[in-house]
Amino acid sequence: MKGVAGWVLQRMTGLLLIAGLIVHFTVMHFSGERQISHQFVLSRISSPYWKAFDLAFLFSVIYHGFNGLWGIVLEYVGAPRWLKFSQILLLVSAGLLALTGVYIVTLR
Amino acid sequence: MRYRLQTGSFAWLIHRLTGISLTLYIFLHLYVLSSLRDPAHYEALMKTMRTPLVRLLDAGLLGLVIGHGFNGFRLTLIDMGISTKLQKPLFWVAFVVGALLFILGALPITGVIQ
Repeated sequence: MKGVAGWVLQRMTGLLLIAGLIVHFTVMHFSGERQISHQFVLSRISSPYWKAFDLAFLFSVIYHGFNGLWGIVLEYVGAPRWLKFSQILLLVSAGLLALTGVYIVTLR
Repeated sequence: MRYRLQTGSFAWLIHRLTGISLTLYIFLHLYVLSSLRDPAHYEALMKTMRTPLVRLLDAGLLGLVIGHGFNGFRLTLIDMGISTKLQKPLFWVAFVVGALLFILGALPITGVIQ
């Protein structure tokens, strides 16, 4: 994303991701093995609060990651054709990831 | 292009490399999670996750996250107008705190302590 809005969003999603990661790591990785059993994950994911958290976390990370990659592309890629190609590739990848994430979170 | 490595440019390079790796990792992460649809497949994958090699990779992932997160927080502070004289000390504070957190997290992840 261009200009100040892109820069502010990158910072805001970054801070959001730090907060989200603390929750994510505590719950998923440092609370014992039961937390990652199939049954437990499905019951956790069935809560609307966790759904909201997971989706906000997912969309933040996709935006942050792909906006970052786009910034790198802008620095190294000059030819308009390759720029367009990279842009489409990044957008399609981000869209696919978002759809996969929604598919997983809405699983029942 | 050639880069002269100093604290700042080193942080910049690491931020880039960890950022690219983490973004690519989303694909792997969501691939593993999409197996939730099939309980047997999911449990089989989770079994793989408990092998020593994957545990080690997992600790590496924690390292990437901590490195990128702490440096990103430092960059945000600088963007918000904290004195640029603090850039280098901030880097080292972030580095030490991050390293400690990494060790604390890597111990249970690798299974060194249960």
